Amino acid sequence: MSESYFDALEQQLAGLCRKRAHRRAWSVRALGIGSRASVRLHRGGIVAMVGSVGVVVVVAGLALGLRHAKPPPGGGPPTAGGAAGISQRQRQAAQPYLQAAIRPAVTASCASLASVRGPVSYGVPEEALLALLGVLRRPREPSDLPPAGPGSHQSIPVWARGSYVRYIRRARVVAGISYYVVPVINAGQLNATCAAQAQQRLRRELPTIPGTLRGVVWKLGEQQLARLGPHQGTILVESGPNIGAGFGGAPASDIKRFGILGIDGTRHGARLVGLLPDGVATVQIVYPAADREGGSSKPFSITAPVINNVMVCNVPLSARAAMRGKMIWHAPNGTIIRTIDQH
Amino acid sequence: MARSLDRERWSDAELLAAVVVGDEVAFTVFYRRYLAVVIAFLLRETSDREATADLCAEVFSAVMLAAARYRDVGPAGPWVLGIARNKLRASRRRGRIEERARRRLGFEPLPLSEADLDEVAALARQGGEHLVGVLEGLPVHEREAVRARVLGERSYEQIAVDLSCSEMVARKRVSRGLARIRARLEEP
Repeated sequence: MSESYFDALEQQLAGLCRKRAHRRAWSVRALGIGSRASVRLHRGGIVAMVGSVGVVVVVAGLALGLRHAKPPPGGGPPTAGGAAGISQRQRQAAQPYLQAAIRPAVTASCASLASVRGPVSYGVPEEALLALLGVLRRPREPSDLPPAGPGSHQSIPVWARGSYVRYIRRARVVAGISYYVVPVINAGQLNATCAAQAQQRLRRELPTIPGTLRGVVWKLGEQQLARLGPHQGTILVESGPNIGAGFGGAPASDIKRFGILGIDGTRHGARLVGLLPDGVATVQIVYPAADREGGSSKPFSITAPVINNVMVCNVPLSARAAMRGKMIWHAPNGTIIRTIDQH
Repeated sequence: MARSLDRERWSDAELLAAVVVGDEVAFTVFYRRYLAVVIAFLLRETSDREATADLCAEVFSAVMLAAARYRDVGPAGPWVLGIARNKLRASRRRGRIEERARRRLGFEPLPLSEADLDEVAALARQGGEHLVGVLEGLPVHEREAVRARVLGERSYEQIAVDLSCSEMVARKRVSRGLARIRARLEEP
């Protein structure tokens, strides 16, 4: 029996769908389009959340949902590898495949951070982190000892559990709020077994993914799993009267590229806090004019100093709108080190 | 074993993103999701089964070409029907069935049998029930506004006059109605 018109239509269009993607992939390669680095910020960083009393907003992920990092002027390649050559469109297209393969692994039974993290370490964090954050290299001072909270265990606040406790540093005190830089032993969301299972699942699914996207999905999948799996990370904790929140969980490589940014606030005003690598003297945040997501009626920018690797500034926007700024890192001599754009 | 890449569960936006990179399975799922609705709309407008089948091929070819431009996150029903409406309008204007998208794709013409024409009618009934069901479920003023805008291709100004309301209210009713349709098309 011959197939119906609509079956034949489906088959022909499906075939054209595949051929068209192949043709376009070749023409893009020939033109060199998409070779410019575009780095997506990872959103999966843990948020170690601790509350003394009223807990504020916690940012689930790094750096305000910023998506692209532009390399510094001068045309140099991005600092860390892996993402170069992957266009934003490829990233978008890869997401459903990545989610389908990796999401099942992110379950309660797979979580390596059961309730709150484990015992503290009296050891030394990885060299890459110490080399990146000057505040961790300075000698320990009495003020670095975090205040013991009501949920403390052996005089260690809940948020300090699982950390390299000798390397916790109070970087700044702003308006009565202390900002602690806390290196943690494991900031991953998955234990090693589950991360390996997710990788196997991804490998198994590769043949069903269009050839033009297979390499991209594999590369991005490995990056995601590296971030989800066990790894050392750093949390920026703010602690004060009626406030307690933690941001980040990023590994050193991500801090180098994006820093850690967190936000808390209400509809009327937000406070941005950030952890930046050595060499960043000021951070300028540029906001566009309001769009349907809200914001200010005119574009404006805010510049905040970075002291002891930590930046704190208030933004007269709702927390949601405050997340949409473009962040520019400046060196002490004013040159631009890096621009991180959310668009 | 459960298939982790079961595209039936993917949203329209995810399917269209996959279509852009050449995922033929994703295209097939999307095609089957909207075939009946598109046919119901086209047959209702043309009352011609052959033209409906022909235009349907053109609409899904255009969907493939435009997939990269789909930016919405909700169901793509209104977007697909918008493409169908544009193709219909272009065909009427030129006095022949539009085929630009198919030409761009290098589409080979398909033979159409009497059985296929019967299938058009059957699919139209199936899709029509879905469409009518969704439309009938809207509040009266939104239903009239959506019907006038999407199916009747009337301007907001004309709709405002027909419904005795301001243009802004007409826009709001269409927008709310479409949002409700999106939500209902999303329901399994």
